[in-house]
Amino acid sequence: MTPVIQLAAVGKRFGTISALDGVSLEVRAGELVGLLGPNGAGKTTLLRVLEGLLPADSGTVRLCGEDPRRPHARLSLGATPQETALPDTLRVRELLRFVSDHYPHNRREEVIDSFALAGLLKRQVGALSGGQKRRVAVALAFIGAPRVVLLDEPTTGLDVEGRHALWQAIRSAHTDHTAIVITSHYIEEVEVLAQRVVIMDRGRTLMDRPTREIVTGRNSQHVHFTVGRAEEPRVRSLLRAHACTTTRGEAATRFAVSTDDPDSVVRLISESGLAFREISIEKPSLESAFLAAIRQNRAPSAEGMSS
Amino acid sequence: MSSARSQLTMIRAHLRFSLIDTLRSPISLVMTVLFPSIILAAFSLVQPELRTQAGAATQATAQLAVFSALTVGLCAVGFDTARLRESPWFRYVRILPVRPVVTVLGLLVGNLVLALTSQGVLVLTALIFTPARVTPSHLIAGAAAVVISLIPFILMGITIAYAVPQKAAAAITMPTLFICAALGGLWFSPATLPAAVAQISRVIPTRGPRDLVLGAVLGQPIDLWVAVNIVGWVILLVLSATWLIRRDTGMRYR
Repeated sequence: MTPVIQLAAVGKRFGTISALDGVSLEVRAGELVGLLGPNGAGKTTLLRVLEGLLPADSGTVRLCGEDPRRPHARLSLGATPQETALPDTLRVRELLRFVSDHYPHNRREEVIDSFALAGLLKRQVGALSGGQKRRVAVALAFIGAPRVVLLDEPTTGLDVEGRHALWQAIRSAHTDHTAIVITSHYIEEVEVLAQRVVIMDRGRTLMDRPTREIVTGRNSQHVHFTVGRAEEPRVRSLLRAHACTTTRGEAATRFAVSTDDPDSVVRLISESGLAFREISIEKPSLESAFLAAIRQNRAPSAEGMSS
Repeated sequence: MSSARSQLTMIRAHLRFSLIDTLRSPISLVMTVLFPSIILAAFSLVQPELRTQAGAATQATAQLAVFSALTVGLCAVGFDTARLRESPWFRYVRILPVRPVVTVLGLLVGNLVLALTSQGVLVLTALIFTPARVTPSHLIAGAAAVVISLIPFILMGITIAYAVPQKAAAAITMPTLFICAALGGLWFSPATLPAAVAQISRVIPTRGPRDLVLGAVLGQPIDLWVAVNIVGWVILLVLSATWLIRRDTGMRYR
């Protein structure tokens, strides 16, 4: 199956700034890709090129095999307006209809369902809350049954509850037929939603891997638990095959065990009849992988890191 | 997929969008529709002949019809075009699978409806409250002449919107509107202008449309220079608008 997004060695300069510096990326139908990068990494330029708003200076850009600058190619594209950009005067129903009128097939009813818009249809957009506008804006991206959906920071500015509701809606609107590319300031968002993560900095892709592989390196998970001081030697002999660090308190010791297989560690200590408490398993975060990748990319240069 | 039917569906969607957007902003709607009639009322107060002489009243109405077309072209179309360039909503619309000409067409037809409504109100006001008179066939000819005169005015609005950023466009539009209205003879008959100004008047882009509409309404022959004025300005404005739109494409970062 040919990829629905094909970027090959795409370059884009604005004056002396190289916004995209030979970016290659392929995304297939059904994938949900998270695009991460610090401000100015080139994420937005990448999306603008894919949306056909900007021509690339070099390389090729294909959307389902077509140049996205042709209107016909954009039949397979869905994107989100900024929440503040929605026209205040229209009712939600009229807005959904306006967008769906551009596509031969539309999923208006499913989208109303997925994004819980039924109660908002008669309201004017200007009268909606920020969270409701966000929901409408993201829903518009799915309405034309597109093969490619681009979501640029879909939940920025939402409270935790609103963010989780929108994640749920995006998941339920995602089908095997559709590829989604999502950029976000919330690394957690990408970790939760995306099966694959692309990290960009200074116009280049630094990393492109399944999310699972980024967050599961060798001995990268930690099992933490606490036992009485007296039990410490017994725990050490039990876990002699593992790398452990300990923190000693007055009466208790807290262990941190590095492992690939936290399940087996938990099984080992619980089957030994040890009186442990406060057990927890810590996975490495995408955030630490992200920061490490950016730091490494910028290390040789003398420029300071922007925060 | 790009069948004629789906093209029509899109054109209808953009037209509906433009009309809803206009109709739901009542203050600007009322002002645009009533503005020419309000000016006619104000002029009648200070110019007694508009209350007594049919010829003077008819001429004033025809001139204000052109003024109304000028405000629609410069202000309404100009403002919409500036929005097309700069508003994030229209940046989103450019991502939709639709050729830009459909969006522009939607806005133009929406504004055309607005312009003709405003003209209708003006004609009714004139027929009811002033001695202005016109035969049905001359009225139709006048309406057609007004539609023709909208062409250079719309091109002016587009040119200004593409030439400068939105805030500057507002600042340039107002003086342009008043200069074109005063020197083009839309407020006072060019016959009352000083000789030197009357000469300049003939090259003003509103003067050709004014004489065209007046000729149509009064059933008088139209001078050759009127056609030269209109065609000349249309060619000039098409060239400048095309150049400015090309210059604008791909200039934006976001």
